[in-house]
Amino acid sequence: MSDEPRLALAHERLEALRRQIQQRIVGHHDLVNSILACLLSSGHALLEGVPGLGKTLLVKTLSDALHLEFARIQFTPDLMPADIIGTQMVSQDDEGRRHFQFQQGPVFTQLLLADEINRATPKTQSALLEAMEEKRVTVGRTGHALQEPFMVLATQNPIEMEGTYPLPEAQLDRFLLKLNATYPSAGELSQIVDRTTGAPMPAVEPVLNAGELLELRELVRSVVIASHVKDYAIRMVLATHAGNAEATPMARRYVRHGASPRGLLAIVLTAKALALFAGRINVSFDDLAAAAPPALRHRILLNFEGEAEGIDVEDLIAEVIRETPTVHGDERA
Amino acid sequence: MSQAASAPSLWIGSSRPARERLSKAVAALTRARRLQVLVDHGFAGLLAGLGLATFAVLVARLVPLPYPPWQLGVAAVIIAVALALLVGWKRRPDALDVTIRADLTLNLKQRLSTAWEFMTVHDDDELAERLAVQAVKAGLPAHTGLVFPFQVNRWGRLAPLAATALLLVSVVDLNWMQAPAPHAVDEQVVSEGQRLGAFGRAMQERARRNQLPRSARQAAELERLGARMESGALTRGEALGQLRGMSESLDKERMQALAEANQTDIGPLGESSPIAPDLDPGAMLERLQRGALDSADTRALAEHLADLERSGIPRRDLEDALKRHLSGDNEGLREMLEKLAQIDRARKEGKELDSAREQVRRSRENLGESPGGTDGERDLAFNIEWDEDGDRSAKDAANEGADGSRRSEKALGAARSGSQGDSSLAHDRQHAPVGPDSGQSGPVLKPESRAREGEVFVTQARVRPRSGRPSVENVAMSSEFASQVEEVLSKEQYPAHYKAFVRRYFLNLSQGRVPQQQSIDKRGAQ
Repeated sequence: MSDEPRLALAHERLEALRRQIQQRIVGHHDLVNSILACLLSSGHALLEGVPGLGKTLLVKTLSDALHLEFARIQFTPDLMPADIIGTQMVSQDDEGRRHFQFQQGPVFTQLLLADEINRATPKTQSALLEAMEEKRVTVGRTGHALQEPFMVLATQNPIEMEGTYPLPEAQLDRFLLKLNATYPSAGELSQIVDRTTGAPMPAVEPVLNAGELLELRELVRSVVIASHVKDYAIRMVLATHAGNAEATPMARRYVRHGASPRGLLAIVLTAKALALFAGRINVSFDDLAAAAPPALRHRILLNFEGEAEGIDVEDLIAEVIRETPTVHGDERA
Repeated sequence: MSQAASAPSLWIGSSRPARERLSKAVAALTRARRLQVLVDHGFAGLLAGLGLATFAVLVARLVPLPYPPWQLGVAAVIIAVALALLVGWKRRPDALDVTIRADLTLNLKQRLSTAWEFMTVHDDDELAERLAVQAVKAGLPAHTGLVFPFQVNRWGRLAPLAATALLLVSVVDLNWMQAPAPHAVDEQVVSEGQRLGAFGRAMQERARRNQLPRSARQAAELERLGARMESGALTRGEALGQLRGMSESLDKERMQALAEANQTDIGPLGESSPIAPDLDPGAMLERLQRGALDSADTRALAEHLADLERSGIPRRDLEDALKRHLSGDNEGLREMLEKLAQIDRARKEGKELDSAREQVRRSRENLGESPGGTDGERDLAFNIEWDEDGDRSAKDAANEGADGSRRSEKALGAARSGSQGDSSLAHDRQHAPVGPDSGQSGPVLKPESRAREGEVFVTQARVRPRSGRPSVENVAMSSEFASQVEEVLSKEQYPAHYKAFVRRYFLNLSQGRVPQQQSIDKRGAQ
């Protein structure tokens, strides 16, 4: 790259990506921002929301805006692991000899949409574990590496629990962020009607290829975090642990298991991406506070009392952010 | 930071001034923060000092202390503020902490603190440079006051309340706080209080008229003490305690007044005598400054050259100053008159304070305190048991020789020792055998004598009743005895009523009821 400021270029590319997505997606600015942060942080995202909010459309639009291989798996109860990762097939060569040959499943892609992931059985869901964490799959005794970049965007419906299999905690922890799709506002609904019931929607053009995306990921990791800012993130995570001195009152009372170290990594990585979006090469307290809800909401397990009282994890995280002082030993600034 | 060092370089180019600008900005912020810490500590110290001062003034007004309340209050405030400032001075703010605060205040998104940390802690110069440029571009504070403004903190906001409390404690009548006197009102204390109060008021009037600040202050104290005594709130012991404190205060003020005049290098002062009765240096100085000094004034000065020389003004200097005045140069005379005015004022102060001290001393005596002064002395002086048979020291004195005058001198010496509170004698007296009636209490006598004109001194002595014949016979005194008694009495410093009592006692002895016996009655020794 020339003398052109790389950060400014990255900022420009990301803006272009946003513009492409917004051609098709109305609203959901925070959701789009979080998905892009997840994309740049080399993580996977779990989108939760009631049907019809545009989750699947968002992921498809993202895939269109990126020069990446895209695959979609519609999770159903009868979906088998082999349907995801592939299977050994008997094939015959020109000389008539037969042998097993690995037939790659849809997981061998760069952007994978796991639609309604909670409808598959845990056995099938767990087929994604190795792929998500290690970016490889093992079939028989042979391991197969996945392409880079690789990202799983899963969706799930929180209200239809009949015939669903809630994701196990280990699987949930593999997702860097859990994002909530919310209802659009009146103005946004009006725009949605105009765009979808009138002329055909404009085509989304790819603006970022795999190489550029990998470079952006490196750039995210080059964003620095000062020790006192890192300390703030650590104290936020510790504040979710019921037995810790930093724990907030709600955490002490309602939390069974607080956020894991992977949660801390998720906060910091996402905050770095958010800092890059803002044109900074350092992480701020605000970046961490913004990254905390999507990074922690699926990593905090409520105890029986919390479940019984219907405690919302969002409230608990809000309290953690509110009560954790930015500077240790000082009041919240 | 390894992750940053191995990461691709960001766009920001290298420019040395960014780091220098950042360093300067952080240094300025640190100075501002340090000043703010000092101010904060100053306010905290002020609040603490005012609190302490309030307490000190309250205590000083309720309990007699050797220092005036305002001095205690001022000292408490000064000490507390000085200590707080010292603590604040030692608490040097950390530069990183300063940058963190600046980030939060200016919403710099931790650019400043991150840049500072990487500049000072980490070794990656390139990254530090990039962060410094980013911080500088984000905008360094133009004025440190934006980040660390001078503001009244919560301690400072509470200080007016504490000051109000101090003011109230200083001016509000606190008599209601003092427990009602459980003792019967001592009429003598009340009477002395009336006298002292009247004297204090008159002294205040004089001090105001003559512009004598020390005397005015002490007169106000004296009037206040008189009022308390007059109110009956003080027991005799308490009144004596306060009077002793008053005496010490008067002495101190008087010495200071005289010492101040001595600093003018004009020689030693007479304590309270006026420079000259018809000479008013202050008025003369005023007339000189107005240009109205006339020949009568210069003549008066010339006439009192001798008096002035005794006061420390060299005759030659004054003559010279007068000559120069006549020739039109007033400078020398002005200096002389200023010195004289200062001396005159100090002497007036000394005189007033001396007079007040005398009044206090009389009150102490009238309330039963011996000239010795201390409680122990007073107790000993006023609890003499005048027994006939039990005083071992008197008996020894009587047995040591036959010479009448020597014996009488010894006896007088013993009596003097008793009256002045000789503890060993008192101890012997308390433990000496007292004869067959030991332990019985006798009638109480109340001899009265005029201590000085207009004052009545009342004292008490317990005399043990005589039982049977004395073990030691009286002897007839020689005709010279009376003159010897007078001679001895004239050499001793007794209160007047003691002197009369002792004289009467010995003169009665000299009549010699049992002339054939040559021993001295041991009562004389007492």
